[in-house]
Amino acid sequence: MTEDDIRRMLRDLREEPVPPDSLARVRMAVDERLTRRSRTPWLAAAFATLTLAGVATFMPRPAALPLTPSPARVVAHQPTPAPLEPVTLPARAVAPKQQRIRRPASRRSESMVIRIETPDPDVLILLVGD
Amino acid sequence: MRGVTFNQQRMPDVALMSDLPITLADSFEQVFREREADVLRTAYRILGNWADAEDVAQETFIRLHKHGLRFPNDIALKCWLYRVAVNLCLDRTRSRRRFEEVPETIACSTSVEADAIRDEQRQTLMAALATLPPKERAAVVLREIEELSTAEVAEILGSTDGTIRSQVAKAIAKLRSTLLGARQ
Repeated sequence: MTEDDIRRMLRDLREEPVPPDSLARVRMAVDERLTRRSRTPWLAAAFATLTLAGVATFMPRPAALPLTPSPARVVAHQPTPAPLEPVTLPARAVAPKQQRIRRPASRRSESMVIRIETPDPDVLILLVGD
Repeated sequence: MRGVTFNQQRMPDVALMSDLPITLADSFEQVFREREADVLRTAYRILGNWADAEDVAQETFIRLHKHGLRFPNDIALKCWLYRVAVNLCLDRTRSRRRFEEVPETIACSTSVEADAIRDEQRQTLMAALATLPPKERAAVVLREIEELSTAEVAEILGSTDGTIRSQVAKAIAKLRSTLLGARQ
């Protein structure tokens, strides 16, 4: 027996028929599984719809809430600051916030001003002495 | 699954193939009809029994249905089917490690003496095939029985042409020595 004989015998195996009942069982099983698979999404969708309908029917409805007007939005109006006029500040006056007061140069010579800068750029402490 | 009478006319509805590409939806049945015997026979040659081969064939076609017929050509489809079937067979042989059972043969009601000898030879050959390592067995089945090209077998088994040639040659030498041993 040569290797060619083995190859010939192997090729002969291809001619051996597949049992018809075996093929039939495969067809049947594939058919069943595909049918089951195609039904599953429909069943799931139907079940979900019924569940949602049931929940919507039996769920207690919340009481109607009284309509309350929403508070008007308050917008802070910030008037544009008028141009500063040279004023004579009283002694120990607290400088208004968010405003930088520059004293006129002529006044600087007459009074002593200590200017303290804070970490907040909008806050400036001025100590004015005569 | 067993013992169920199957109506030959009853086949999966075309409507069931809705997840396949629309233009190819009605081709699943055609592919199934054309390839089922090849897949089943290959699985049987590797596994050695029809019950397991049926399970593998069934799973292979279910996977084809899930995958869809998105193949560039018929060869790609054929290779895909064989690859899935062979991998499923190898998974089974791995879990079983080695199948010891004597392969089943189909009863032949009109067997004359020549047929009886041939049947005996087939049975001996199948028993010899069963002694091969799973990958070598798969290579021989695909190359020598299914008569696929070496390149196709290499693609199916995820190997190279050279490896397949070597595996097939080695397997045939082993089969020869097994059959010669059986004769003595």
